Amino acid sequence: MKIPPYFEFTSPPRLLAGEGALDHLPYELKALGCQKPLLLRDPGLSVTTLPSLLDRILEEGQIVPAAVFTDLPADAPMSRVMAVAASYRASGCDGLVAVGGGSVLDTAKAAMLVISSGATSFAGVEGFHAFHGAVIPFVLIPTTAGTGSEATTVSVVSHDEKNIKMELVTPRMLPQTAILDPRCTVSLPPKITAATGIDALTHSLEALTGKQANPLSRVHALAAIELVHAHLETVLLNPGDKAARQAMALAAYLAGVSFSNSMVGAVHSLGHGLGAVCHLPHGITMELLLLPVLRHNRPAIEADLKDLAALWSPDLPESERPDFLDSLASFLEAVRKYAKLPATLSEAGVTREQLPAVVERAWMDGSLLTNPVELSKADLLELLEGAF
Amino acid sequence: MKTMVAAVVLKFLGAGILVLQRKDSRMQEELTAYAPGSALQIRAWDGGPVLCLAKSASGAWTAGSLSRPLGSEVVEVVFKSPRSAILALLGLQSVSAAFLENRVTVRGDLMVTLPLVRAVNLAEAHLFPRWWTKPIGTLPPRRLTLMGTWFGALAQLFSPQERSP
Ligand SMILES: [Fe+2]
Repeated sequence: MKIPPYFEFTSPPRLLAGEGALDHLPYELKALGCQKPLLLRDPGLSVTTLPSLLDRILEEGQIVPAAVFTDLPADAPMSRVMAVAASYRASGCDGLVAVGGGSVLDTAKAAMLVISSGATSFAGVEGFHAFHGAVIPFVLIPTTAGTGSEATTVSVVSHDEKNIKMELVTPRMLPQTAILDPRCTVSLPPKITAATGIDALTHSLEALTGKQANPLSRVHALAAIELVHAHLETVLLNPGDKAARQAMALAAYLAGVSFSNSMVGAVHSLGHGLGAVCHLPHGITMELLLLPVLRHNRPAIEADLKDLAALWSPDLPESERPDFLDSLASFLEAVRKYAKLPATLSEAGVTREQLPAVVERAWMDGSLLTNPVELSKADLLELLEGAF
Repeated sequence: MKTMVAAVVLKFLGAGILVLQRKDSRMQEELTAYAPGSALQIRAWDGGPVLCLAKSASGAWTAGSLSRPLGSEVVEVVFKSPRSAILALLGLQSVSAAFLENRVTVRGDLMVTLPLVRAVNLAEAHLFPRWWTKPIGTLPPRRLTLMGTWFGALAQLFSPQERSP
Protein backbone atom coordinates (compact mmCIF):
# COMPACT_ATOMS: atom_id res chain seq x y z
CA MET A 1 0.00 0.00 0.00
CA LYS A 2 1.39 3.38 -1.02
CA ILE A 3 1.74 5.85 1.85
CA PRO A 4 1.83 9.48 0.69
CA PRO A 5 4.78 11.54 2.01
CA TYR A 6 2.27 13.75 3.81
CA PHE A 7 -1.47 13.42 4.28
CA GLU A 8 -4.23 14.56 6.58
CA PHE A 9 -7.15 12.51 7.81
CA THR A 10 -10.16 13.81 9.68
CA SER A 11 -11.79 11.11 11.79
CA PRO A 12 -15.49 10.54 11.21
CA PRO A 13 -18.04 11.69 13.79
CA ARG A 14 -19.47 9.57 16.57
CA LEU A 15 -21.96 7.20 14.97
CA LEU A 16 -25.15 5.64 16.29
CA ALA A 17 -26.15 2.91 13.83
CA GLY A 18 -29.02 0.44 13.80
CA GLU A 19 -32.77 0.23 14.23
CA GLY A 20 -33.66 2.29 17.28
CA ALA A 21 -30.61 4.57 16.99
CA LEU A 22 -32.95 7.52 16.54
CA ASP A 23 -34.37 6.91 20.03
CA HIS A 24 -31.02 7.95 21.49
CA LEU A 25 -31.21 11.43 19.97
CA PRO A 26 -32.39 13.09 23.23
CA TYR A 27 -29.57 11.42 25.17
CA GLU A 28 -27.01 12.61 22.60
CA LEU A 29 -28.35 16.17 22.65
CA LYS A 30 -28.22 16.35 26.44
CA ALA A 31 -24.70 14.93 26.41
CA LEU A 32 -23.74 17.77 24.09
CA GLY A 33 -25.34 20.32 26.41
CA CYS A 34 -28.29 20.98 24.10
CA GLN A 35 -31.83 21.35 25.47
CA LYS A 36 -33.45 23.68 22.91
CA PRO A 37 -32.35 22.59 19.43
CA LEU A 38 -33.40 24.02 16.12
CA LEU A 39 -34.83 21.07 14.19
CA LEU A 40 -34.16 21.39 10.46
CA ARG A 41 -36.41 18.92 8.67
CA ASP A 42 -36.54 17.95 5.00
CA PRO A 43 -39.94 19.12 3.66
CA GLY A 44 -40.09 15.90 1.63
CA LEU A 45 -40.49 13.93 4.86
CA SER A 46 -43.96 15.38 5.50
CA VAL A 47 -45.48 12.48 3.53
CA THR A 48 -43.72 9.92 5.74
CA THR A 49 -44.20 8.89 9.38
CA LEU A 50 -40.70 10.08 10.29
CA PRO A 51 -41.71 13.55 11.60
CA SER A 52 -44.22 12.06 14.06
CA LEU A 53 -41.70 9.40 15.14
CA LEU A 54 -39.13 12.12 15.76
CA ASP A 55 -41.63 14.26 17.69
CA ARG A 56 -42.51 11.30 19.92
CA ILE A 57 -38.84 10.50 20.59
CA LEU A 58 -38.01 14.12 21.48
CA GLU A 59 -41.07 14.39 23.71
CA GLU A 60 -40.19 11.18 25.55
CA GLY A 61 -36.68 12.52 26.02
CA GLN A 62 -38.00 15.85 27.31
CA ILE A 63 -36.37 17.83 24.54
CA VAL A 64 -38.51 20.61 23.11
CA PRO A 65 -37.16 22.13 19.89
CA ALA A 66 -37.07 25.91 20.20
CA ALA A 67 -37.68 26.13 16.44
CA VAL A 68 -38.60 23.78 13.61
CA PHE A 69 -37.48 24.84 10.12
CA THR A 70 -38.87 23.05 7.06
CA ASP A 71 -38.99 25.80 4.46
CA LEU A 72 -36.23 24.44 2.25
CA PRO A 73 -36.37 24.01 -1.53
CA ALA A 74 -34.26 21.29 -3.18
CA ASP A 75 -30.66 22.56 -3.45
CA ALA A 76 -31.34 25.40 -1.01
CA PRO A 77 -29.59 28.69 -1.80
CA MET A 78 -27.36 30.80 0.50
CA SER A 79 -30.31 32.97 1.55
CA ARG A 80 -31.99 29.88 3.09
CA VAL A 81 -28.78 29.14 5.01
CA MET A 82 -28.89 32.66 6.42
CA ALA A 83 -32.61 32.25 7.19
CA VAL A 84 -31.90 29.09 9.22
CA ALA A 85 -29.19 30.96 11.14
CA ALA A 86 -31.56 33.89 11.77
CA SER A 87 -34.27 31.54 13.06
CA TYR A 88 -31.73 29.84 15.36
CA ARG A 89 -30.63 33.17 16.83
CA ALA A 90 -34.16 34.56 17.14
CA SER A 91 -35.41 31.44 18.96
CA GLY A 92 -32.51 31.24 21.39
CA CYS A 93 -31.55 27.71 20.28
CA ASP A 94 -28.56 25.94 21.76
CA GLY A 95 -27.90 23.29 19.13
CA LEU A 96 -28.82 22.18 15.60
CA VAL A 97 -30.34 18.86 14.48
CA ALA A 98 -30.95 18.21 10.79
CA VAL A 99 -32.95 15.34 9.32
CA GLY A 100 -33.09 14.88 5.57
CA GLY A 101 -31.40 14.18 2.27
CA GLY A 102 -27.94 15.36 1.27
CA SER A 103 -29.01 18.87 0.29
CA VAL A 104 -30.76 19.48 3.63
CA LEU A 105 -27.73 18.22 5.56
CA ASP A 106 -25.44 20.45 3.46
CA THR A 107 -27.67 23.45 4.25
CA ALA A 108 -27.49 22.55 7.95
CA LYS A 109 -23.69 22.31 7.83
CA ALA A 110 -23.36 25.74 6.23
CA ALA A 111 -25.87 27.21 8.72
CA MET A 112 -23.95 25.63 11.59
CA LEU A 113 -20.78 27.43 10.45
CA VAL A 114 -22.61 30.75 10.08
CA ILE A 115 -24.13 30.38 13.56
CA SER A 116 -20.90 29.19 15.22
CA SER A 117 -18.78 31.94 13.66
CA GLY A 118 -21.32 34.71 14.22
CA ALA A 119 -20.94 35.57 10.51
CA THR A 120 -23.43 38.04 9.12
CA SER A 121 -22.94 37.01 5.50
CA PHE A 122 -22.33 33.77 3.68
CA ALA A 123 -19.00 35.11 2.37
CA GLY A 124 -17.75 35.08 5.96
CA VAL A 125 -17.62 31.26 6.02
CA GLU A 126 -16.72 30.47 2.40
CA GLY A 127 -13.48 28.67 1.69
CA PHE A 128 -11.28 25.65 2.25
CA HIS A 129 -10.00 24.93 5.77
CA ALA A 130 -10.58 28.61 6.53
CA PHE A 131 -12.86 28.30 9.58
CA HIS A 132 -11.43 28.73 13.08
CA GLY A 133 -13.13 28.45 16.43
CA ALA A 134 -15.63 26.47 18.46
CA VAL A 135 -18.88 25.08 17.04
CA ILE A 136 -22.38 24.56 18.42
CA PRO A 137 -23.87 21.13 19.33
CA PHE A 138 -24.70 19.55 15.97
CA VAL A 139 -26.36 16.23 15.04
CA LEU A 140 -27.08 14.95 11.51
CA ILE A 141 -29.60 12.26 10.56
CA PRO A 142 -29.56 11.28 6.84
CA THR A 143 -32.72 9.99 5.18
CA THR A 144 -31.02 8.90 1.94
CA ALA A 145 -28.09 6.53 1.53
CA GLY A 146 -25.84 8.34 -0.91
CA THR A 147 -24.12 11.65 -0.26
CA GLY A 148 -22.71 10.61 3.12
CA SER A 149 -22.97 14.31 4.00
CA GLU A 150 -23.22 13.38 7.69
CA ALA A 151 -19.61 12.17 7.48
CA THR A 152 -18.01 14.76 5.19
CA THR A 153 -16.20 18.02 5.69
CA VAL A 154 -17.90 19.45 2.59
CA SER A 155 -21.08 21.46 2.06
CA VAL A 156 -22.44 22.61 -1.29
CA VAL A 157 -25.03 25.39 -1.41
CA SER A 158 -26.61 27.11 -4.43
CA HIS A 159 -26.13 30.77 -5.31
CA ASP A 160 -29.36 32.75 -5.13
CA GLU A 161 -29.11 34.48 -8.50
CA LYS A 162 -26.41 32.74 -10.53
CA ASN A 163 -26.62 29.12 -11.69
CA ILE A 164 -23.58 28.17 -9.61
CA LYS A 165 -22.77 26.26 -6.44
CA MET A 166 -20.83 27.58 -3.48
CA GLU A 167 -18.58 25.10 -1.72
CA LEU A 168 -17.38 25.12 1.87
CA VAL A 169 -14.76 22.68 3.11
CA THR A 170 -13.58 22.48 6.71
CA PRO A 171 -13.03 19.66 9.18
CA ARG A 172 -14.92 21.80 11.74
CA MET A 173 -18.16 21.18 9.82
CA LEU A 174 -18.57 17.55 10.87
CA PRO A 175 -21.38 16.91 13.34
CA GLN A 176 -20.50 15.64 16.80
CA THR A 177 -22.94 12.75 16.20
CA ALA A 178 -24.45 11.10 13.14
CA ILE A 179 -27.43 8.76 13.39
CA LEU A 180 -28.16 5.99 10.88
CA ASP A 181 -31.48 4.31 11.54
CA PRO A 182 -33.03 2.11 8.82
CA ARG A 183 -36.44 3.61 9.64
CA CYS A 184 -35.12 6.79 8.00
CA THR A 185 -34.38 5.23 4.61
CA VAL A 186 -36.83 2.33 4.33
CA SER A 187 -39.43 4.29 2.36
CA LEU A 188 -37.04 5.69 -0.27
CA PRO A 189 -38.37 5.10 -3.81
CA PRO A 190 -36.33 2.79 -6.11
CA LYS A 191 -35.00 5.52 -8.43
CA ILE A 192 -33.59 7.57 -5.54
CA THR A 193 -32.33 4.43 -3.79
CA ALA A 194 -30.44 3.41 -6.93
CA ALA A 195 -29.12 6.84 -7.85
CA THR A 196 -27.93 7.67 -4.33
CA GLY A 197 -26.43 4.18 -3.93
CA ILE A 198 -24.41 4.66 -7.14
CA ASP A 199 -23.34 8.08 -5.83
CA ALA A 200 -21.92 6.38 -2.72
CA LEU A 201 -20.18 3.78 -4.91
CA THR A 202 -18.69 6.57 -7.02
CA HIS A 203 -17.47 8.46 -3.93
CA SER A 204 -15.60 5.40 -2.71
CA LEU A 205 -14.20 4.38 -6.13
CA GLU A 206 -12.96 7.90 -6.87
CA ALA A 207 -11.50 8.29 -3.36
CA LEU A 208 -9.75 4.91 -3.66
CA THR A 209 -8.23 5.53 -7.08
CA GLY A 210 -7.57 9.27 -6.86
CA LYS A 211 -4.30 11.13 -6.35
CA GLN A 212 -5.18 12.04 -2.78
CA ALA A 213 -5.82 8.46 -1.59
CA ASN A 214 -4.20 7.53 1.71
CA PRO A 215 -4.19 4.31 3.77
CA LEU A 216 -7.04 5.44 6.03
CA SER A 217 -9.37 6.73 3.32
CA ARG A 218 -8.62 3.53 1.41
CA VAL A 219 -9.88 1.28 4.24
CA HIS A 220 -13.16 3.22 4.38
CA ALA A 221 -13.54 3.21 0.58
CA LEU A 222 -13.02 -0.55 0.27
CA ALA A 223 -15.57 -1.24 3.04
CA ALA A 224 -18.11 0.99 1.28
CA ILE A 225 -17.54 -0.67 -2.11
CA GLU A 226 -18.03 -4.12 -0.58
CA LEU A 227 -21.29 -3.06 1.12
CA VAL A 228 -22.77 -1.47 -2.01
CA HIS A 229 -21.94 -4.59 -4.02
CA ALA A 230 -23.56 -6.83 -1.44
CA HIS A 231 -26.69 -4.79 -0.71
CA LEU A 232 -27.77 -2.33 -3.41
CA GLU A 233 -29.49 -4.93 -5.58
CA THR A 234 -31.16 -6.38 -2.45
CA VAL A 235 -32.76 -3.07 -1.45
CA LEU A 236 -33.97 -2.54 -5.00
CA LEU A 237 -35.57 -5.99 -5.13
CA ASN A 238 -36.84 -5.86 -1.56
CA PRO A 239 -37.20 -2.22 -0.44
CA GLY A 240 -38.49 -3.18 3.02
CA ASP A 241 -35.33 -5.15 3.93
CA LYS A 242 -34.16 -3.06 6.88
CA ALA A 243 -30.83 -4.88 7.28
CA ALA A 244 -29.93 -4.15 3.64
CA ARG A 245 -31.16 -0.55 4.01
CA GLN A 246 -28.91 -0.12 7.03
CA ALA A 247 -25.97 -1.63 5.17
CA MET A 248 -26.49 0.92 2.37
CA ALA A 249 -26.69 3.78 4.89
CA LEU A 250 -23.43 2.57 6.37
CA ALA A 251 -21.89 2.31 2.89
CA ALA A 252 -22.81 5.94 2.21
CA TYR A 253 -21.31 6.99 5.55
CA LEU A 254 -18.06 5.07 4.90
CA ALA A 255 -17.87 6.44 1.35
CA GLY A 256 -18.39 9.92 2.81
CA VAL A 257 -15.45 9.42 5.17
CA SER A 258 -13.26 8.25 2.29
CA PHE A 259 -14.01 11.04 -0.18
CA SER A 260 -14.08 13.70 2.49
CA ASN A 261 -10.42 12.84 3.08
CA SER A 262 -9.35 11.99 -0.46
CA MET A 263 -11.68 13.99 -2.69
CA VAL A 264 -13.44 12.68 -5.77
CA GLY A 265 -12.36 12.85 -9.42
CA ALA A 266 -13.48 13.46 -12.99
CA VAL A 267 -16.79 11.57 -12.62
CA HIS A 268 -17.78 14.32 -10.22
CA SER A 269 -16.25 17.14 -12.30
CA LEU A 270 -18.36 16.09 -15.27
CA GLY A 271 -21.33 15.23 -13.06
CA HIS A 272 -21.32 18.70 -11.53
CA GLY A 273 -21.18 20.17 -15.06
CA LEU A 274 -24.10 18.04 -16.22
CA GLY A 275 -26.05 19.02 -13.12
CA ALA A 276 -25.50 22.72 -13.76
CA VAL A 277 -26.08 22.74 -17.53
CA CYS A 278 -28.64 19.94 -18.01
CA HIS A 279 -30.21 19.87 -14.51
CA LEU A 280 -29.80 16.10 -14.18
CA PRO A 281 -29.99 14.60 -10.67
CA HIS A 282 -26.51 14.09 -9.25
CA GLY A 283 -26.84 10.31 -8.80
CA ILE A 284 -27.96 9.83 -12.41
CA THR A 285 -24.89 11.70 -13.68
CA MET A 286 -22.68 9.40 -11.57
CA GLU A 287 -24.40 6.30 -12.96
CA LEU A 288 -23.84 7.51 -16.54
CA LEU A 289 -20.21 8.58 -16.18
CA LEU A 290 -18.64 6.20 -13.66
CA LEU A 291 -17.68 3.46 -16.10
CA PRO A 292 -16.40 5.67 -18.97
CA VAL A 293 -14.18 7.68 -16.60
CA LEU A 294 -12.77 4.60 -14.84
CA ARG A 295 -12.02 3.05 -18.24
CA HIS A 296 -10.19 6.22 -19.25
CA ASN A 297 -8.27 6.22 -15.94
CA ARG A 298 -7.39 2.54 -16.28
CA PRO A 299 -3.64 2.88 -17.07
CA ALA A 300 -3.13 4.68 -13.75
CA ILE A 301 -5.32 2.45 -11.57
CA GLU A 302 -4.48 -1.14 -12.56
CA ALA A 303 -3.31 -2.11 -9.06
CA ASP A 304 -6.54 -0.80 -7.50
CA LEU A 305 -8.61 -2.66 -10.10
CA LYS A 306 -6.88 -5.92 -9.11
CA ASP A 307 -7.75 -5.31 -5.44
CA LEU A 308 -11.31 -4.47 -6.39
CA ALA A 309 -11.65 -7.65 -8.47
CA ALA A 310 -10.62 -9.64 -5.39
CA LEU A 311 -13.09 -7.68 -3.24
CA TRP A 312 -16.03 -8.40 -5.53
CA SER A 313 -15.08 -12.02 -6.35
CA PRO A 314 -13.43 -13.24 -3.13
CA ASP A 315 -14.13 -16.93 -3.73
CA LEU A 316 -12.46 -17.17 -7.14
CA PRO A 317 -8.74 -17.75 -7.65
CA GLU A 318 -6.93 -14.73 -9.10
CA SER A 319 -6.66 -16.23 -12.58
CA GLU A 320 -10.43 -16.74 -12.79
CA ARG A 321 -11.57 -13.41 -11.38
CA PRO A 322 -13.45 -11.28 -13.89
CA ASP A 323 -11.99 -7.88 -14.63
CA PHE A 324 -13.40 -5.39 -12.12
CA LEU A 325 -14.63 -2.96 -14.78
CA ASP A 326 -16.55 -5.80 -16.50
CA SER A 327 -18.13 -6.73 -13.14
CA LEU A 328 -18.96 -3.07 -12.55
CA ALA A 329 -20.60 -2.83 -16.00
CA SER A 330 -22.83 -5.84 -15.21
CA PHE A 331 -23.64 -4.44 -11.77
CA LEU A 332 -24.65 -1.05 -13.17
CA GLU A 333 -26.70 -2.76 -15.87
CA ALA A 334 -28.66 -4.69 -13.23
CA VAL A 335 -29.23 -1.57 -11.11
CA ARG A 336 -30.46 0.33 -14.19
CA LYS A 337 -32.88 -2.47 -15.00
CA TYR A 338 -34.38 -2.64 -11.48
CA ALA A 339 -34.70 1.13 -11.07
CA LYS A 340 -35.38 2.03 -14.72
CA LEU A 341 -32.47 4.46 -14.96
CA PRO A 342 -31.17 5.84 -18.28
CA ALA A 343 -28.14 4.10 -19.79
CA THR A 344 -26.84 7.00 -21.89
CA LEU A 345 -26.72 10.79 -21.72
CA SER A 346 -29.11 11.04 -24.67
CA GLU A 347 -31.59 8.73 -22.92
CA ALA A 348 -31.35 11.09 -19.94
CA GLY A 349 -32.41 13.99 -22.19
CA VAL A 350 -29.02 15.63 -22.74
CA THR A 351 -28.47 17.13 -26.19
CA ARG A 352 -25.16 17.08 -28.06
CA GLU A 353 -25.22 20.89 -28.22
CA GLN A 354 -25.04 21.04 -24.41
CA LEU A 355 -21.79 19.06 -24.18
CA PRO A 356 -19.29 21.93 -24.75
CA ALA A 357 -20.96 23.95 -21.96
CA VAL A 358 -20.68 20.90 -19.67
CA VAL A 359 -16.96 20.68 -20.48
CA GLU A 360 -16.47 24.37 -19.58
CA ARG A 361 -18.13 23.79 -16.19
CA ALA A 362 -16.14 20.62 -15.54
CA TRP A 363 -12.90 22.43 -16.41
CA MET A 364 -13.44 24.75 -13.43
CA ASP A 365 -14.18 21.92 -11.00
CA GLY A 366 -11.59 21.24 -8.31
CA SER A 367 -12.16 17.46 -8.49
CA LEU A 368 -10.14 17.43 -11.73
CA LEU A 369 -7.04 17.97 -9.63
CA THR A 370 -7.41 14.64 -7.83
CA ASN A 371 -8.36 12.49 -10.83
CA PRO A 372 -5.67 9.82 -11.27
CA VAL A 373 -4.87 10.97 -14.81
CA GLU A 374 -4.73 14.54 -16.06
CA LEU A 375 -7.52 15.44 -18.42
CA SER A 376 -7.64 18.11 -21.11
CA LYS A 377 -10.81 19.76 -22.33
CA ALA A 378 -10.65 17.46 -25.37
CA ASP A 379 -10.50 14.42 -23.06
CA LEU A 380 -13.55 15.67 -21.14
CA LEU A 381 -15.51 16.13 -24.35
CA GLU A 382 -14.48 12.67 -25.55
CA LEU A 383 -15.71 11.13 -22.27
CA LEU A 384 -19.08 12.84 -22.65
CA GLU A 385 -19.33 11.78 -26.30
CA GLY A 386 -18.59 8.22 -25.20
CA ALA A 387 -21.43 8.31 -22.69
CA PHE A 388 -23.85 10.03 -25.08
CA MET B 1 15.10 35.06 6.29
CA LYS B 2 12.06 32.96 5.34
CA THR B 3 9.97 36.13 5.08
CA MET B 4 12.49 37.71 2.73
CA VAL B 5 12.76 34.60 0.54
CA ALA B 6 8.98 34.27 0.35
CA ALA B 7 8.52 37.97 -0.46
CA VAL B 8 11.10 37.88 -3.28
CA VAL B 9 9.74 34.65 -4.77
CA LEU B 10 6.17 35.96 -4.65
CA LYS B 11 7.31 39.08 -6.52
CA PHE B 12 8.91 36.96 -9.25
CA LEU B 13 5.88 34.69 -9.39
CA GLY B 14 3.62 37.71 -9.90
CA ALA B 15 5.89 39.11 -12.58
CA GLY B 16 6.07 35.71 -14.30
CA ILE B 17 2.30 35.41 -14.34
CA LEU B 18 1.96 38.88 -15.89
CA VAL B 19 4.57 38.09 -18.56
CA LEU B 20 2.77 34.87 -19.48
CA GLN B 21 -0.58 36.64 -19.37
CA ARG B 22 0.68 38.74 -22.28
CA LYS B 23 2.43 35.97 -24.21
CA ASP B 24 0.76 32.61 -23.50
CA SER B 25 -2.85 31.92 -24.48
CA ARG B 26 -3.12 29.24 -21.78
CA MET B 27 -2.46 31.83 -19.06
CA GLN B 28 -4.88 34.24 -20.73
CA GLU B 29 -7.53 31.53 -20.74
CA GLU B 30 -7.06 30.72 -17.05
CA LEU B 31 -7.27 34.37 -16.05
CA THR B 32 -10.46 35.01 -18.04
CA ALA B 33 -12.22 33.03 -15.29
CA TYR B 34 -12.03 36.14 -13.12
CA ALA B 35 -14.36 39.10 -13.39
CA PRO B 36 -13.02 42.68 -13.61
CA GLY B 37 -12.50 43.94 -10.07
CA SER B 38 -11.36 40.51 -8.81
CA ALA B 39 -8.21 40.00 -6.77
CA LEU B 40 -6.26 36.75 -6.34
CA GLN B 41 -3.98 36.70 -3.34
CA ILE B 42 -1.29 34.18 -2.48
CA ARG B 43 -0.11 34.64 1.09
CA ALA B 44 2.98 32.75 2.20
CA TRP B 45 1.52 32.08 5.67
CA ASP B 46 -0.88 33.70 8.10
CA GLY B 47 0.48 37.24 8.51
CA GLY B 48 3.26 36.57 5.97
CA PRO B 49 4.14 38.28 2.68
CA VAL B 50 1.50 38.33 -0.02
CA LEU B 51 1.18 38.51 -3.80
CA CYS B 52 -1.96 40.30 -4.90
CA LEU B 53 -2.94 39.86 -8.55
CA ALA B 54 -5.72 42.27 -9.37
CA LYS B 55 -7.89 42.66 -12.45
CA SER B 56 -8.97 46.23 -13.09
CA ALA B 57 -12.35 47.31 -14.43
CA SER B 58 -10.79 47.47 -17.89
CA GLY B 59 -9.49 43.91 -17.58
CA ALA B 60 -5.80 44.77 -17.10
CA TRP B 61 -3.85 42.72 -14.55
CA THR B 62 -1.42 44.13 -12.00
CA ALA B 63 0.72 42.41 -9.38
CA GLY B 64 1.57 43.92 -6.03
CA SER B 65 2.56 43.14 -2.49
CA LEU B 66 -0.24 44.91 -0.65
CA SER B 67 -3.28 42.78 0.08
CA ARG B 68 -6.91 43.72 -0.29
CA PRO B 69 -9.41 43.13 2.49
CA LEU B 70 -11.29 39.86 2.05
CA GLY B 71 -14.62 40.19 0.29
CA SER B 72 -16.75 38.55 -2.34
CA GLU B 73 -14.35 39.48 -5.19
CA VAL B 74 -11.20 38.31 -3.41
CA VAL B 75 -9.82 34.77 -3.31
CA GLU B 76 -6.91 34.30 -0.93
CA VAL B 77 -4.73 31.19 -0.76
CA VAL B 78 -2.69 30.93 2.45
CA PHE B 79 -0.12 28.22 3.20
CA LYS B 80 -0.58 26.59 6.60
CA SER B 81 3.08 26.90 7.58
CA PRO B 82 6.26 28.65 6.39
CA ARG B 83 7.75 25.22 5.57
CA SER B 84 4.85 24.38 3.22
CA ALA B 85 5.04 27.84 1.65
CA ILE B 86 8.76 27.66 0.97
CA LEU B 87 8.45 24.15 -0.55
CA ALA B 88 5.79 25.31 -3.00
CA LEU B 89 7.13 28.79 -3.72
CA LEU B 90 10.59 27.47 -4.54
CA GLY B 91 9.05 24.90 -6.87
CA LEU B 92 10.23 21.95 -4.73
CA GLN B 93 6.60 20.94 -4.55
CA SER B 94 4.02 21.94 -7.15
CA VAL B 95 1.17 24.10 -6.00
CA SER B 96 -1.20 21.28 -7.12
CA ALA B 97 0.57 18.93 -4.73
CA ALA B 98 0.29 21.51 -1.95
CA PHE B 99 -3.45 21.54 -2.55
CA LEU B 100 -3.63 17.74 -2.65
CA GLU B 101 -1.87 17.53 0.70
CA ASN B 102 -4.12 20.19 2.30
CA ARG B 103 -1.09 22.43 2.91
CA VAL B 104 -3.12 25.50 2.02
CA THR B 105 -6.30 27.20 3.08
CA VAL B 106 -8.52 29.17 0.71
CA ARG B 107 -10.64 32.11 1.78
CA GLY B 108 -13.32 32.96 -0.74
CA ASP B 109 -15.00 31.28 -3.69
CA LEU B 110 -13.62 27.73 -4.10
CA MET B 111 -15.27 27.42 -7.51
CA VAL B 112 -12.68 29.77 -9.03
CA THR B 113 -9.63 28.32 -7.32
CA LEU B 114 -8.66 25.76 -9.96
CA PRO B 115 -7.74 28.32 -12.68
CA LEU B 116 -5.43 30.01 -10.13
CA VAL B 117 -3.76 26.66 -9.35
CA ARG B 118 -3.24 26.02 -13.07
CA ALA B 119 -1.95 29.56 -13.59
CA VAL B 120 0.64 29.20 -10.82
CA ASN B 121 1.65 25.76 -12.14
CA LEU B 122 2.14 27.27 -15.59
CA ALA B 123 4.20 30.15 -14.18
CA GLU B 124 6.36 27.80 -12.11
CA ALA B 125 6.92 25.58 -15.16
CA HIS B 126 8.42 28.65 -16.85
CA LEU B 127 10.33 30.11 -13.89
CA PHE B 128 12.15 27.00 -12.63
CA PRO B 129 14.46 24.61 -14.49
CA ARG B 130 12.88 21.21 -15.21
CA TRP B 131 15.44 19.32 -13.11
CA TRP B 132 14.55 21.45 -10.09
CA THR B 133 10.77 21.15 -9.95
CA LYS B 134 8.89 18.13 -8.61
CA PRO B 135 5.53 18.22 -10.35
CA ILE B 136 2.58 16.07 -9.26
CA GLY B 137 1.74 15.27 -12.88
CA THR B 138 3.32 16.36 -16.10
CA LEU B 139 4.54 19.94 -16.27
CA PRO B 140 2.81 22.06 -18.90
CA PRO B 141 5.09 22.50 -21.93
CA ARG B 142 6.92 25.84 -22.07
CA ARG B 143 6.03 28.34 -24.76
CA LEU B 144 8.64 30.81 -23.49
CA THR B 145 12.17 29.74 -22.61
CA LEU B 146 13.40 29.84 -19.01
CA MET B 147 15.67 32.76 -19.88
CA GLY B 148 12.94 34.54 -21.83
CA THR B 149 10.56 34.29 -18.88
CA TRP B 150 13.21 35.52 -16.45
CA PHE B 151 14.14 38.51 -18.61
CA GLY B 152 10.46 39.29 -19.05
CA ALA B 153 9.84 38.99 -15.31
CA LEU B 154 12.81 41.24 -14.47
CA ALA B 155 11.63 43.82 -17.01
CA GLN B 156 8.16 43.57 -15.51
CA LEU B 157 9.50 44.11 -11.97
CA PHE B 158 11.38 47.26 -12.97
CA SER B 159 8.69 48.66 -15.24
CA PRO B 160 6.68 51.65 -14.04
CA GLN B 161 3.46 49.60 -14.39
CA GLU B 162 4.49 47.26 -11.57
CA ARG B 163 2.62 48.70 -8.68
CA SER B 164 0.42 47.70 -5.84
CA PRO B 165 -3.24 47.56 -6.70
FE1 LIG C 1 -21.44 12.55 -5.35
